[in-house]
Amino acid sequence: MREQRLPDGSQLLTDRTWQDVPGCRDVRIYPYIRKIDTLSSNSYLLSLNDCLILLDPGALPEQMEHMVGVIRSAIAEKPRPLLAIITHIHGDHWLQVLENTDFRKFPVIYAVQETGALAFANNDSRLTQASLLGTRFGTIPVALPLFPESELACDDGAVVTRPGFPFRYSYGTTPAPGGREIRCQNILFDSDTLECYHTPGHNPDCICIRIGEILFTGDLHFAATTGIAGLAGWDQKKLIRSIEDIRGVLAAKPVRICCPGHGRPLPAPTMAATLEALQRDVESLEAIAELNVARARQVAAYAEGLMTALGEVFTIIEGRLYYVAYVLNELEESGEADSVGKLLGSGMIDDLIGNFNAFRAEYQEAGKPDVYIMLKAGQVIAKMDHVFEREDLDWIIDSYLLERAERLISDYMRMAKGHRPPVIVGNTDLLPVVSGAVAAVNRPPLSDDEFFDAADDPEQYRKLLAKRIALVSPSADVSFAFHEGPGPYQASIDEDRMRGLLIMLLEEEIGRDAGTITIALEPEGERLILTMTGTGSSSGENDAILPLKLRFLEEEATLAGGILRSSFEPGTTTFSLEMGTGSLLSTLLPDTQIP
Amino acid sequence: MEITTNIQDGAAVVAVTGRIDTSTAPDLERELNRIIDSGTRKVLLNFRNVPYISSGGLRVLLATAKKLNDPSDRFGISSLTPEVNKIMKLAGFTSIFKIFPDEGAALAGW
Repeated sequence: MREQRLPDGSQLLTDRTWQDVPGCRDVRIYPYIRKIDTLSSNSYLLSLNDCLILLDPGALPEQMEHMVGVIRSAIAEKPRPLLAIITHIHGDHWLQVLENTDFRKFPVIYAVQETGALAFANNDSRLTQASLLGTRFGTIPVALPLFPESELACDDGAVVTRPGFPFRYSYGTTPAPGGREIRCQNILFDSDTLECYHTPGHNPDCICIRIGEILFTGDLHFAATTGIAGLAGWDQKKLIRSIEDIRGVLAAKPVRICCPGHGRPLPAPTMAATLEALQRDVESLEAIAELNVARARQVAAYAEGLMTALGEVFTIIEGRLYYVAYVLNELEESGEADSVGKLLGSGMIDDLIGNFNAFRAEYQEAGKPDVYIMLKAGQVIAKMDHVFEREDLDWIIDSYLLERAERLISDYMRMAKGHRPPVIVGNTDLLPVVSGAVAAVNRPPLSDDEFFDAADDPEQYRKLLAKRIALVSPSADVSFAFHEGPGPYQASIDEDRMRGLLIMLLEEEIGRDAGTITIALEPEGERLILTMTGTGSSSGENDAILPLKLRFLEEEATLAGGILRSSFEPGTTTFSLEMGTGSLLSTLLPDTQIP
Repeated sequence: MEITTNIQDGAAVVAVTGRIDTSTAPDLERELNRIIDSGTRKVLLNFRNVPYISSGGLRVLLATAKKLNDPSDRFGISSLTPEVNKIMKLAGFTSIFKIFPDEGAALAGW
């Protein structure tokens, strides 16, 4: 794990080691820090003179076994009560307390914000995310419900005791942006005070905790992440307010280190900047759909087809770069060959796609819930987005391939956030759309004039040479025929999406060795039918498109404003697209505004 | 992924079954290197049962083409599935390799 340092150069926390909590009179901390994933949170053990506090016990057996060993030693050294505080009741933060029999032998006192405590009491499987994971969790007895409604009227500073909870506590306030005040619940120990802040939004029971100069932020800064935003209990308005509150705490209190629920600790200024950016992200997440089992299934299914298409387009792009590098090497232009070969992250995207496919196969075999595939796709696509820099490739790779890669990435991000991919519909003449698609796969080579002009400039010449090699015309041995019925060829479609779809269908024909591709346009009443027929030498043995890919193409057709049908006969592959006026589109895409 | 190599008329015919991706491409590369290192200079890949090839697989094909670049060497691929054929054409690879409809055509025609 990469070490981070505070602005003054001093160390942040060291993993799995006891160390002093800065700003406290007598508190030590033992962090268990994990890489960021959905399997388990970090755990933090605090040692005070009169209490041990375990923040977020986590959900992995090895993690809990490790922490049980540390707790056992600490209690042997000095017997004290063990308090477990859960920053929110998502299963990844606490499930091991039900599983680990050694932990269950400790007389643990649990503290959870009141909404979470009620969810435990009522076996609410939505707020724990058990229902999304297709399972049920057990429950734990909460001795201290934090911020209970019954104590809303408590005066600041008044000391409160609660039956079954061995420590006293009080309430206080901290200034927040806009003249507001943030309420905090202070648990009073011999030497120091633990401040809790109620920060709903990611889940209704989320809390952040400060002790000394450390602020534990739970999952606050992951709350806008694709696949996390929209979980049951997610609330945009409350989340924005909670972010503002914690930014207020960071400004008003002497915090130096922020410990999130997942991943490395961060210096407070880094967390403040992260929260500022997060607030902007969350503000853009209007009307997000709830991420429930049905939506996870829908998005996971969409992700599988989309990842196939993404894998394909990136293989073509990277294949072209390898091809250009190969030919340049043959031409003894090894310097240019090296730089071209590395334009797309040197195989990183291929590794990501391989990683997703292996994950999907393993999870499907084990019958695990769809949400895991959805989240994995989100993680992989976000990394692809990071590696894929269109401006590095614009000069050498056909724009239609780059546009497709960009669009697929952006569509998934929208879909995973609960929005339909954007559709821009217009009443469009289909002829230029068809000819644009054919031109994309049937492009002429770079002109000789352009090439000769660059002959005096070695660098420009090498670039143009690479570009000339890269401009592949995959349909060089295909002849095209057009049959037009009596026009007009107007249809309500998303022009860019339709062009992109037609290019993908042409690619399928080319892959089946079509010698001739015939495209016919035929108005039928209010409908317009486009038929694309490829005839050629293919044996027809394996000609049908894989079901996953076909389903993806049908979904793409829907977004473009058409209904796709296909047939595969030996030597002949036919696609037909039914398009129409606004009435067809409003059936396909009910929420679309039709001009 | 499974690889079966047969020697026919002095040529190695390498039949691959399964996906050639980031995890399996190194196995194919090892087998092709083994064949070339043993002195065989004619290699035909039969991709009849390869439903998918990733860029890692394409890289292995190029690396092999580079090693078999003497005028008397032969390197070809036969029996492409539509998915792999599409990738090869769109990536420009069909202008580097000889592509044959089946094994017989390859061994007779190269």
